[in-house]
This record gives sequence, structure tokens and C-alpha cells, in this order.
Amino acid sequence: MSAEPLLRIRGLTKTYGIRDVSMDVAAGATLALIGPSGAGKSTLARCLAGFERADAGEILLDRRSEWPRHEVQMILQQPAASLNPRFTAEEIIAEPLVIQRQGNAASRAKRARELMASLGLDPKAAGAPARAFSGGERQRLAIARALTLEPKLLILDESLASLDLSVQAQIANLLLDLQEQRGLTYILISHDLSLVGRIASEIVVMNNGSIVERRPA
Amino acid sequence: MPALLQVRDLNVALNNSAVLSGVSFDLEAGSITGLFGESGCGKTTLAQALLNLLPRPQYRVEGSIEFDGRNLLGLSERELQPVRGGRISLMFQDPLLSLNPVQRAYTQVREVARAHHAAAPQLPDVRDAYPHQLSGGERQRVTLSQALACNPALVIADEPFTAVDPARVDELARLFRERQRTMGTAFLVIAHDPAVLESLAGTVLVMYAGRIIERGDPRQVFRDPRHPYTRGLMQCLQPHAPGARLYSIPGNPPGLSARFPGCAFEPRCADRVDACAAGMPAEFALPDSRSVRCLHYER
Repeated sequence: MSAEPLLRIRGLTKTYGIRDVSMDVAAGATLALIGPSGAGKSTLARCLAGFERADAGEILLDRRSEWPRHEVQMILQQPAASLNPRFTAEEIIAEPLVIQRQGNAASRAKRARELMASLGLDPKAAGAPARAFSGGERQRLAIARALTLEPKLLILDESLASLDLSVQAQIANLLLDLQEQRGLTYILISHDLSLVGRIASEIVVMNNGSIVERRPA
Repeated sequence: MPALLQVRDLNVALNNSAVLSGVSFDLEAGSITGLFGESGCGKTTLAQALLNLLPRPQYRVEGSIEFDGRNLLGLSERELQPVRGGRISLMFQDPLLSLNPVQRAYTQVREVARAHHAAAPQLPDVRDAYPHQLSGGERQRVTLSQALACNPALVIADEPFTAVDPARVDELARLFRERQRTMGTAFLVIAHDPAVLESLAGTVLVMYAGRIIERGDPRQVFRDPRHPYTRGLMQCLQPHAPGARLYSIPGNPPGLSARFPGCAFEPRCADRVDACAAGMPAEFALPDSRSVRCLHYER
């Protein structure tokens, strides 16, 4: 792990969201962001993912203030709402590759099936539409889609909340494996303190748009 | 006195694949019962079956659901209308999907009351807001107000606590309990978080692959689980050493098309014996009104 953090945030402010937030996140860390609803966790995440622009302050990823957008991926809370119900599993997972013009149809299909298998989804179901999958399976599809472009930073905004305990443990283990293999960094937004305690390396507590506490898990 | 709701031998099949098999339970008036299990085990199908909402002919529904002395499965749509939302109401999992985005919160609560000729309840602080202007917890309160608008005897809440922050979970649980105490409303709460059911419910039903496999007081069931499946789930919650992996039950829950002559958990079970695959075990009674559907408890 290098001394330079993967993510450096300085004085980040967004009206109605966050106030003067500064923190570093080391490469390969799992940082849990906790706090009550409205504390600014999701706003911070949306700024990091590039969905919103902060009013003031600075975000550096690998010392760059601008980076290819796919290096930061966000997995949202509601799998039902974040997947196109008419797309097949394969189309959903391969879509980022299509947008980035990577590979050909055959290699994209292969990659989609590999990712499905590694997330515990039956690759034989690659041709089924998203609506045919259960809630937990749809969230796995969303995670597979986020991993397609091999991001550096993955933001999990309550992504494991709708999953069952055993599936949650499987996905948490998968995330830990991927982290080991690829040096992925996670920001985990969660209300589930027991989950946070089980997988986070650091905990940041937010309230009213500011960081109020930070400590190792 | 007979129970408020009596479900007997409920079987539901979707296109000839069994979704629920032999589900029987009672809900007493003013009780809070938890329904616990993994996705795909049939919890939501059960919730919809209780209101006779499953569309035919894709779904085949057999058995009986006695409520107010009538079998809900035998009622016409016209006869069901006052029951749905009036006597039994359903609180959906995702308020953002179940609320109308272009109507103010109060309009939507009033709509339910109007449909049942009831007086519209109060909704003080959020009444003029549209759903997108509300936080998750506030939206949850709007859907709860809808569910309670007609003072039903039973509220079925499908995963109301998922992804809600701990303070809101407490608040929602408090609202449930308050309603239970003051109005004698019964709740059937679907959840996959044992902690909240432990504090809220008097009875928990654990489901796996469309069957109830363990039932009892949630404090006993979750602290001293008997079925290998429940034990596995509770083990998933155990803290672990840094860098170690979490415990996870091997394999995945079976899909709808899977058919088992024996126990559906047998392929994943650490305690399986040959007899497990031969026939579906019955529910064996344990002390303290508990029961478990596992051969190891046969006497």
C-alpha cells in the first residue's frame, strides 16, 4: 500500500448536503460511512461518483482532480430501480463495455457470463430479463455491472441492505476477495452496524453534513 | 376464540412450480408475527396470497385462509374489496415504488380512506409534500399511514425495515407497537434482520423454499436455533477475525423449478443423513410452543 491515499477529499461542500468534508482513503481500504438519514452520506457519494458537482473543495483520485468516470463506480440501493427490466442479464452486465467500446460481442458475452458465475448467478440465465430475477439476484447483477470496467473505487450505497444474510455474507466475501486480488477500495454506506463491524477497516461517522468521528473498525 | 387469521395447508404454484407448500399458521388478534427467510423462499408470495392478490391462472392457490369467519380464497373480487386495505392492509417494501410520484402525500392517504368510506387520518408534518421531497423514513411513515388509514385488523408489512437507518427502525417499530397496544392491530412483518424481529415480534416463522421450517419465540429461535438452516443464518452474523472471511451457508437457495422428494435444505445441510433426501420431514414440536421441520428432532 502506497503512502499516497487513493482518494483525497479537501473542504468539500455542497449546499443542502455536506459541509467542509476532508478525508483520505487509502488504496485497498474498506471505509464505512455511517450516520442518520440526511447526514450527507449519499451526497458525498454522489459527488465522488461524479453524479453531482460540489460547490467548493477538491476531490483527488490518484492525485488527479479529473479521472475517467468508470474508475469510480457506485452501486445503488434499489436493484429493482437501477436495472432496465427489459434488458437481459447479459446486456446489463455488458452494457458498460459497449459504451466504452471494449471488445466484441463474443468477448463481452463471455465476460458477462464469467462475472455472473463469480457472483453466484447461473450463467445459463444470461438471456433472462432483469425482471425475472429475485431482489438479491438483481443486486448481484448490479454489482457485476459495476465490476465490468474494473473500477478502482467502488461505492456501495446500502447495496447489501436488501440481501439475505447468507447472500450478504457471500457478497461481502466476494468483495473482500476482489479487494485482495485487485486492490479495490470500497466506500460502504450502511445503516447495518453489524455488517459494518464485520467488513469495514475504518468507520467514518457523519451528521448534519460533516464528519463527526473517524476511527478504525 | 378462534385466531384472527387461520392459514391451513396453503399451496401456491406458479406455472406448475411450487412456491408455497403446506403453509399453516395462525395470527392472533393484536399479535406481531415475524416472517423470516431468504429471498425467493416465498415470503412476498405468502403476503400476496393472504390478500388473494395472486393472478390466476398463472398461480394455482389451494388451501384455506380463514379471516373473519370466511375463507378469503373463496371470495369474489367484489367481496374482497372491503377486506383489502380495509380489514387487511399491505405495506410494500419500497415506498418510492408504491407511492404515486405526482400526488401529495396526504392525497394518497386520503384516497385509501375514501375507497373504504373511512375518515382520513392526520398526517401532520409531511402532508403537502410529494414523495420525492421526503426522506426514506418519512415515505415509510406515509405508507404506514396509508396502511393504517382504515384501522385494519391486520397489517402485512413487507420488509419495512430494509435500508432504513437505525433511528428510523426504532421509530417504525415503536409505531407498530403503539398501534398494536392502542388499537389491537395485528402485524405480520416480513424481515430478514433477526435483531428487529427479536425486539418486535412475539412469534417468528422461518421459511425456506416455500415451507415454514421453524417457528417459536424469536428470542429463542434466533439465540438457540434448531433447524440447520436457521443455525447457518445466525452463524453468518457472527463476528470474524480481521482478514478472515464471513461464514456463508454453502450453495444457494433452490430455484422454483427445483423439486425435492425430501428436505429442500438437504443439499446445503451440514447435518444431512441419507433419510433427509428420502421424504419431507414433518414439523416436530419442541418445548415452549416451538417447532422445527427437521428429521433430527423426530422422536
